[in-house]
Amino acid sequence: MEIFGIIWNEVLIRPMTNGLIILYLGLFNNFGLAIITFTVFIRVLTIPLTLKQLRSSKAMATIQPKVADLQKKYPKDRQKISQETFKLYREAGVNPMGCLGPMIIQMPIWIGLYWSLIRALPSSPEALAGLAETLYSKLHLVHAAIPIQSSFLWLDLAAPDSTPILPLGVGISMWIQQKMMTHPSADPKQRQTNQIMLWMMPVMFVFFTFQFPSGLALYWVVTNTIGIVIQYFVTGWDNLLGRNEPKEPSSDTPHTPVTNTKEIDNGAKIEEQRKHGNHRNIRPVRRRSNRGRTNTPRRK
Amino acid sequence: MFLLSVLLTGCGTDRFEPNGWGGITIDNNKLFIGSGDGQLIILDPKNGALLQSYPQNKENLHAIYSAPLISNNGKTIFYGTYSKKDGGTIYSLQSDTLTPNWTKAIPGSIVAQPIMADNLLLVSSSDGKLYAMEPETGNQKWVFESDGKLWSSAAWSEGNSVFIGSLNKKFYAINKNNGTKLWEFESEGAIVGTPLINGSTVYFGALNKKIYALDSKTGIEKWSRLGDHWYWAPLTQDKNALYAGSMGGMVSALNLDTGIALWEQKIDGAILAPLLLLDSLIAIASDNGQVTVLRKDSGNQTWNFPAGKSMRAKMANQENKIYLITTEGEIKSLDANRGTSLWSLQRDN
Repeated sequence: MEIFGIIWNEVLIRPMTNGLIILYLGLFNNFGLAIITFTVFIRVLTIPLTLKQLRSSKAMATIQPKVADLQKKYPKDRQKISQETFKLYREAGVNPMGCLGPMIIQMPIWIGLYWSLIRALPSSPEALAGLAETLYSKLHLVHAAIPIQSSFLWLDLAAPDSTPILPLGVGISMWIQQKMMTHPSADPKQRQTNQIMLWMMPVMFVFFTFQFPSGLALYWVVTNTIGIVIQYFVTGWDNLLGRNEPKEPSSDTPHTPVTNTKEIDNGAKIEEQRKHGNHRNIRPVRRRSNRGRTNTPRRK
Repeated sequence: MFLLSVLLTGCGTDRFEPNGWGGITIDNNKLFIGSGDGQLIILDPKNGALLQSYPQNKENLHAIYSAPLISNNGKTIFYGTYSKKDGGTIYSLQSDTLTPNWTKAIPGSIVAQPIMADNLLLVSSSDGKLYAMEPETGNQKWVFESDGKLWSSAAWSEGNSVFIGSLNKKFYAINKNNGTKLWEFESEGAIVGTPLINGSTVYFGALNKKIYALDSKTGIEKWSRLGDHWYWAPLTQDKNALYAGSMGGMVSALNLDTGIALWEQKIDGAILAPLLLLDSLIAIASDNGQVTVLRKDSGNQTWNFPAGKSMRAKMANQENKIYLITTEGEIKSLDANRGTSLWSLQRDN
């Protein structure tokens, strides 16, 4: 286990902490700007993976109806459903695990950033002493930077935001991103799951933001905002504005009463003939359009 | 996976929580120990037997980072506590019965030991203020406000000047009578260790790896010296040399007037605890659990004792015995000549 700790420290925490402090020094001793710049840098680095995941997710949404059809076609044969589903994914070039890629990268970054924040912005003697072993000894400029000024706008980046501004920012940006990423489904169960996820994650993160240092919350707001921009270029605003919602017939929907009884009679005849397999004499009534006509009498 | 990552975020960071590391003072043949867990305890130095403790109830105590101060007449104990949420509290107790005289809450947490300066109790605080109080009552006489946390004790040695360094890289000389600033010096590193006064020179170490010597009247730099790592532990001196320990494990003996190294010796582990001067020896407790004793004249190692746990607290010595406390609350007595353990007491920290 110790080896993992060493790897974690040497590969992630130390470079991140020292990097943040160097950014801080280069950005007018402003740690908020350092966090924002760091976030942009990470998102730019992971754009190829993010785009791949978003496109994969979009493609998956388009083949969802076919997956639903498979379930109707083979209601009791789970193995067949799985086989055909994977065949569908393969043909569509979709990787069902594709959505995990960015998440797997983001996870250690969140955790690493939290550790780096509490080390770079020590709030206790233990934390300050711990910073000594984190900084690269040959980088004299980072040592001279200590202590880092933790104020940014109204925030103390080492402490939770005392106002609801940043927590709400995290929640709202997360909701928007989630909404844009969620492709509407005709399946009622799936829609319910989507709705739960749409609200549960932002609400939980709002709660977490009240507990964690505001520097981490600042990272979340910036990363969500960038995510929204990237998402826009892939899917547009349609999901957010609800333009892609599948239309379901509803008993509440008012409908225009039919006034052409000839159409009704003919329609019933056609239906009757179809039932008995007689398709030869079926000729739907053609309604004559009045477009372009005048009241000029016909010549004999 | 989102949830898992959020939950994992806080794992392993509890070692940065303010747990305190305490410190030891010897007076009147008793060991007065501010324990990291917030209790003041009094032990018999012969065998470590617990004589008294305060308070009895260990619930809701705050961390202690320094040794208690025993006042000049030996009758009163002062110590301060640290709490992120509740700020600091300064306690005054009677040394024989541990009956409280008074307690005073201040907004900033207290890291450093309070000091006495000519019938003034000086308390430095994380809110950037140096409080001067009447020791009998705790009433405030004046307060000096800096713009950075004060984690070091103030220093005073006769005269009207009090000296203190802050985490905002500034070093101050303050008028003891009214708390006004006499001068300030901008170093390039945060200052955590207590300054050292020797005649007309005041010395301190900083986290930019430098040791500074300033003229105590004017604040003009006499010399500065770049070391290998942060200087957290206060400097100490005898008539021959200035002694410093760095967080890189380097122990240096420096010429008082020039800062030139007389000798340097690397030991294992970061040095945060104050160095302890014995007759011809110097004892160093390191963060990786080693107590190393060097000869003052040469820096050669005399003995080394593996205490096992990290040590950051002030040690004490009496009659060739060294007393120390680890960050995990273990209190030990060592033979200063041989480096062997005489007794050990484990507290719940």
